Amino acid sequence: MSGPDKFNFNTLSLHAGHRPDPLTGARAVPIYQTTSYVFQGVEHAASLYNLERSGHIYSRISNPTVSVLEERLAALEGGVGSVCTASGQSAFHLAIATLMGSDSHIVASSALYGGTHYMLKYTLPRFGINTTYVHPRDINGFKSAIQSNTKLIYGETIGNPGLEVFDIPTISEIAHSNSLPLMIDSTFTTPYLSKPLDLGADIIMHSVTKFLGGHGIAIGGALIDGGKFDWGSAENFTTLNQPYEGYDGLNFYEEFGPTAFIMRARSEGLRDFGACMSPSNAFYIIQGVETLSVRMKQHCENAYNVAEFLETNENVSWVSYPSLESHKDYKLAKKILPKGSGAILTFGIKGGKEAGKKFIEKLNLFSHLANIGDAKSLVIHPASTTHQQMTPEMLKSAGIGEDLVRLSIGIEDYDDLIQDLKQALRASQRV
Amino acid sequence: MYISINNENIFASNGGKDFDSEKKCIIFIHGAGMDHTIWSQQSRYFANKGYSVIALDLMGHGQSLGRASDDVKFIAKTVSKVINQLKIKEAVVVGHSLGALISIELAKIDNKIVSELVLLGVCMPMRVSDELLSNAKNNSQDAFRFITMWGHSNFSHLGQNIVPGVWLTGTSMKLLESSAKGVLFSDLIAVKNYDENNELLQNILCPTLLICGSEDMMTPIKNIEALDNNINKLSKIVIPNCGHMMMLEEPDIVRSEIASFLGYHKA
Ligand SMILES: Cc1ncc(COP(=O)(O)O)c(C=O)c1O
Repeated sequence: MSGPDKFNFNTLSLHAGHRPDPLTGARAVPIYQTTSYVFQGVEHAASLYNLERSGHIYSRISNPTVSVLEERLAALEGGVGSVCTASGQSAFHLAIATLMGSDSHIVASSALYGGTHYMLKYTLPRFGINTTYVHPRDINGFKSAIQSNTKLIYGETIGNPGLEVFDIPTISEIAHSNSLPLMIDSTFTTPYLSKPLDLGADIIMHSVTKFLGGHGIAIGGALIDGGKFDWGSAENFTTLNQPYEGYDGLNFYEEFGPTAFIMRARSEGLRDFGACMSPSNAFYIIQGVETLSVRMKQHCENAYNVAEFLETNENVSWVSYPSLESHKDYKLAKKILPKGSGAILTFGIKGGKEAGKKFIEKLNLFSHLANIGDAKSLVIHPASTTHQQMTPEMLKSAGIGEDLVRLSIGIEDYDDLIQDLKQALRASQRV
Repeated sequence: MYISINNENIFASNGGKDFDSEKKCIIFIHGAGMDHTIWSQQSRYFANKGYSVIALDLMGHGQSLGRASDDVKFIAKTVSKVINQLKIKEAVVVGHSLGALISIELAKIDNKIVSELVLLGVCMPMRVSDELLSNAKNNSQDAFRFITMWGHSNFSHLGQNIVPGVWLTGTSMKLLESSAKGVLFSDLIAVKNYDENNELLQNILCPTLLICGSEDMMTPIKNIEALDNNINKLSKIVIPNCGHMMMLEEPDIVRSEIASFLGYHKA
């Protein structure tokens, strides 16, 4: 027995959160395309609204199709529960809004997805929430950045797009010894490659838009509650351990114990901010999750082979992929990502920005677009797209040079990917 | 609320309403390694239906201080002190597993106060495997895994929880893991050593509801005979496809069965 569950990872990815419909016998998860749910009576309605009992009321707050995905992700991550959201960005926002209000502070890794960076750097300060950035390898920096109003430490399992591996075990110890939770964006790795809760994290967020879906057809996000953080004794978390007038003085920690965070995220955050996932998007993401293991294996195998190929290519000046011995975090990656370090890799193209542009234009199979984690291979040049608002210093501190090309390796036949890369690299060097 | 017993603070959740000793009270008693949060699908409901709710954390559990005791009768006496101190005049006692054994004892001690008894996930005798005991003694994760694994039916292991988005087996596991060192062991010893003379069950005079799970592997339904034969006013319901953690696995059925037992027919 490795966990509390009767079933193992692949079985859970196919079955968790769903039992075949007893009325129709339908085997697949149905799309409950409905906004609302008929009450059994006036008393039933009142008790649902008052959280005396659970059940679906309105699809902004919960929906049976979305709930299947939520339970499935919680099961795969080893958590107590999950809330799915309209996007990865809204999942991140929901976590922040559930944990803190104005006069709060976050300590975050400096190697973050651009969208997250914008929210922390430019948007949240307007609401009185400020962030100190620390380079993910500067372990002591996390310690010294903590203030009396710090509410969260935050990082990505693998930094975006610098590919620094976040030392979850060590930084979670720092967080916990300061009575702070650690939240991890695990989008790049998925629970197949890494289970941050087992490594010490307290909350996980995903952009399920990426590998969890795998098909590139639906935007979505998820928060998963690890259920281990002691909200009760940490003074800072008044949203969780003080009475909440929005539910007649309900104290979430007292009432729900291990599920306090996720219960508040749903019953306040989805109710009020409303960034819910649609049932049809949940259905699409569920189709992806069912094949997560087989896809991730193929993604990793292809990515490793592509990384090795690039390392020997004359038109490439450097390659960054945590499973390569040349990567600074190779040892850490071996330890916390033993099954592989995902499908995102970056490299420097000789000839800089101009060669980069030409390379992208010459690729046939790789699609030039602003996404990662599709089953199809993707490419982007961050300095001119996702990270273009950053100053040169910020780009540098996030580990992004002008020559940097990011690949998201798909599950195509490896030989075809290599052929495509080879010809485009060759073409990039022609004047 | 906190109640000071033997100089230790005992915690009880009141289901979101103020405690009022003038009202009929409903006391919830959790099982081994757990705390009051397992009742969240029932306690708020009854608090809003006019009962004064006391969902206890037994000593050493949840937010209660003190040392967990390994003696069911001693624990029952402590709960009786809570009843005394709060000047409770009439109470329904609802207990699960170890909590059900405590409830049985309480019904005998406070037979003037306990008006109805609800027993969930209990049989007689209750066996505890040596393997589980030795894992619990060593505070091994395997003890928590074992209970989570066998405490839920196969259906619960698939999920589709009534509480949207909550993964039940994960929640049970985390609750057990949050218990202080040695608490689960002490609880299991209490269960193992509880040696009730079955005939003394005949001293329980109040109406009693026994709620069983058809798939309960911890307290299997085949072992409820002693309860069935000796408790005078026993009614019994078996929840299909349900394991040992019935108030979490089938919260709606448990809530409505208790409510109709107590005379609310539209829970
Ligand atoms: C690591 C990471 N986190 C969060 C996000 C935001 O997710 P979404 O686009 O689903 O809002 C992305 C999207 O690119 C991402 O790559």
